[in-house]
Amino acid sequence: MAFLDVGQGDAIYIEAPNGNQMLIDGGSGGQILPALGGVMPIYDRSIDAILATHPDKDHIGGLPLVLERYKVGKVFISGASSNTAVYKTLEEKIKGSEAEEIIARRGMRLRLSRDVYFDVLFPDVDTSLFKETNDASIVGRLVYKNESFLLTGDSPIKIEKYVASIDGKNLKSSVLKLGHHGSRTSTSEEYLGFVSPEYAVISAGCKNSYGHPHKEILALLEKFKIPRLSTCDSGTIIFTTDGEQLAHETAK
Amino acid sequence: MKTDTLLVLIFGFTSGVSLGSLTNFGWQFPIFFLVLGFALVFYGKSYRSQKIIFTISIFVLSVSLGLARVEIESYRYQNVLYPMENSRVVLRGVVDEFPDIREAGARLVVLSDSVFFDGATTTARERLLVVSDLYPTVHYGDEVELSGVIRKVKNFSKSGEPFDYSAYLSKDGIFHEIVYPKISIISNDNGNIVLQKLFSIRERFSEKLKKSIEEPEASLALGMLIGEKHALPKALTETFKHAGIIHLVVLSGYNISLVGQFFMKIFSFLPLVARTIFGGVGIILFVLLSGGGASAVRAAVMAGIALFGTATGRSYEAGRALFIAAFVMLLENPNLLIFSPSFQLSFLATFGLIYLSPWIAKYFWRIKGKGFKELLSQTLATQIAVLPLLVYLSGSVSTVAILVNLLVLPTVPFAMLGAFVAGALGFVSAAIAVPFALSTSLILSYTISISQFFSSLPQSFVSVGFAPAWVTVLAYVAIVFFVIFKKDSELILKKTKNDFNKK
Repeated sequence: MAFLDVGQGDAIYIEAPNGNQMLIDGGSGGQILPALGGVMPIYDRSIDAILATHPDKDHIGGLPLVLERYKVGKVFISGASSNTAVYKTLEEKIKGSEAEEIIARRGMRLRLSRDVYFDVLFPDVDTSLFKETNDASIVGRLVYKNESFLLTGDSPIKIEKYVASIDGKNLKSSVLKLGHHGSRTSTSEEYLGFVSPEYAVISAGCKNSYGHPHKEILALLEKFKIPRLSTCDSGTIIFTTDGEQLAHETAK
Repeated sequence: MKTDTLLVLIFGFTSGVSLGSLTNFGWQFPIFFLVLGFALVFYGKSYRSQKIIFTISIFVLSVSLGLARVEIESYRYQNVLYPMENSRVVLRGVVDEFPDIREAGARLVVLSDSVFFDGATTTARERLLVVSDLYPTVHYGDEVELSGVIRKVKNFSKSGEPFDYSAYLSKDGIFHEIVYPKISIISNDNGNIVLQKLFSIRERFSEKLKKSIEEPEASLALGMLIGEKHALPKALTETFKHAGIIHLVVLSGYNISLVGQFFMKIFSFLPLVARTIFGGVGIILFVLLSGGGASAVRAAVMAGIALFGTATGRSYEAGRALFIAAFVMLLENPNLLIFSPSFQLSFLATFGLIYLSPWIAKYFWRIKGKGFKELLSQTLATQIAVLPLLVYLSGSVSTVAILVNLLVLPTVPFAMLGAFVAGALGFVSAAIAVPFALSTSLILSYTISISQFFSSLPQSFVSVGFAPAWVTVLAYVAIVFFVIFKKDSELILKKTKNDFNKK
C-alpha cells in the first residue's frame, strides 16, 4: 500500500498479494502519473479498481488522466456530484471508458484477494443532495488478516462521529490516513481514540496554501505518541504487510 | 582577406535589429543611418579606396534596414486591450496554438474576436495568454468564452534572476493575460484546417504512446519526438537541466538532425544528393508530426543545415546557409534575435557543429571508432558554442554535461525510433506495440537514471553568478575571431604546402 506523493492532494495505491490493484483518489493533476509509474511494474497498463472518495479537485484531478492511460475495471464514486469542470471531465472519461461505474455504499465489500478486502463504512445514504462535497467522502477500511488501514477521505469531524457511533471499537486500525490532509476540521480526539493507530499518515503538499497539517492535529498525535508520516517530508510512503507484520519505507 | 558583401549585409542587419530591439528611438534612428549610408555612397565616388567605403555604406544601410524592420514590427500590435487592463471582461476567441498542457494546469494562446467590457461589446483581434486549469480540456481551434480579469503580462523571477516574461511573450505578439478565467467551450474546429489536421494526428499519436508507456518515460519520449517538454514533472526538468541534457526534450535542432541522419542512413545506398533529399523529407515529416509550429520550422531549417554541414564537410556553404536562414527568420520576426533563447541556442549549436566540430575532431585523431569520434567532437562543439549563452541565461554551469551527453546521446536515436514505432503501431493494435513500448521504456529509464545519478553528485551544477551581457558578447566575439583566424591559418598552411609541392 503506497501513499503517493502528489503534492497537495490524496492518492493511495494498493496492490494485493495476487496482483490485484486499486487506486484511491488521484491527486490534483498530472503528478499522479509519474507517481504511479514509480510503484507499478513497467509493463502494467491496467488498474482493477479506482475509488474517488469525493468530487474535489485535489482528489479526482488526476483521475481523468489515469482513465485515459490505463485500462480500468471498476470506478467507485461517492454519489455526490459537483458542478466543476474537473468533475464533468471525470464523468465523461468514465462513460467513455470500459470501466463500470459503481456508487459506493456502506456494506459493500470489495475483495481484492482471498484475505484482502476493502469495506465501505460511509456513506450509507444518498449523497447527491449533500451541500458539502467533503461530507460525502467515502470512508473505508482495508483489511489484510491482522493489519488494517483506515482511509478517511476529507470527512469532517461530524461524519467521523457518525461513523464512530456505528462502528465504535471496530475502527481500530494499524494505519490511519488523517482526514482532510491533517486539517483541524477532521480527526477529533475521540475518533483518534477509537482508531488508535500505530501510524498516522498525512497526505499533503509542502507549503500548501491551507497550512495543512494544522498544528492542533500534530499536537494531538504528539499527545497520544502516535508516529506520523507525511508525503511532504517523506515523498511516497509504502507500507508492506503479510497480514501479520507491518513495515514501511519512504522515498526521501 | 576578401570581404563578403552578403555577410556584411547580414551582420549590419542583425546589428540594426539588436540596436532597435534594445533601444526605443523611433523612426529618426533608421532614417539617420539611411542618410548616412547614402552620403557614404556619394562621398565614396570621389575617394580612392572605393571598396572599403562601399563595404561600410552597405553595412550602414543594412543597419538602417534592421532598425526599420523593428520599427515596423511595433506597428503590428496596436493593442485595443490596453484600456481594459485590470478590469473584468468576457472575451470570445479561438485557441490559436497547440495548448501547452503541464503537470498542474494548461497555458493557452487565444486570438480574441470580441470583448465585452464596460457594458459594450467591441471587436478585438489580439493574442492573449490564458493560464488555466487542466479542465475543461481545450483543443487547438476551439472557440472559447473566457470571463476573468485582463492584465498586462507580469514579469516574474526565475531561479533568482528576474525573467523578462513580457518581452519574451511580446516576440509572439502577446501582451496580455487572463489567469484562471471561467472557460466555456462554444464550438470546435475554428482554426487553420491544415494545422487542425496536424494537431489531431499529433494528439492521437501521443494518446497511443501514453497508453503504452508509463510516466515519466512517456513524457520524455514525447519531448524527444515532438518537443512537449512541459508535461515532464518539474523535478525531472530540473534534473535534466543540471545534467545538461534539457536540449533533448525541447524541439531542438539536435533531435531533428537525428531524424535526418536516420533517413540518410536508411538510404545510404543512394548517391549523396538523393540521400540528402531523403534526409530533408524525413525532417519535414518530423516537423509535420510535431505540429509544425514556427519554432519547429526554424529548428528544422537549422537542423537541415547542420546535417548538410556535418555530412558533407562543406563548412563554407553550410555556414553561408546558416547566416542566410537566420537573416530570413529575423526578417520575418525581428523579435527573435534578442528575446528568443530557443532561436539563439539553435543558431549557436548549429554554428558550433559547422565550424568547431571539424576542428575539434582533429584533436581526436587517436580515436579509432568513427562514430564515437563524431559524437565526441560534435558534443564538445555544441557545448562550447552554447556555453556562454547558457551561463548568461541560467547563471550556472553543468559540470557533468559532457559526460552525461556522451552516455545518453547514443541511446537517443533508438529511444526516438522505438517511441515512434510504438506510437504508430498503437493505431493498429495495442498488443503489437507492447514489445516496442517496453524496450523504449527501458532505454528512457536509463536516460532518467543516468541524469538523476550525475545531477545528484556534489558540484554537478555550479552557480557562477549571472555574467553581464557584455561578457557573453565578448565570449562570442572571441569564438568568431577564433573561427576566422583558424580558417586563415589553414589557408596559409595549404598555400605553403602547394608552394612547396610546386618546387
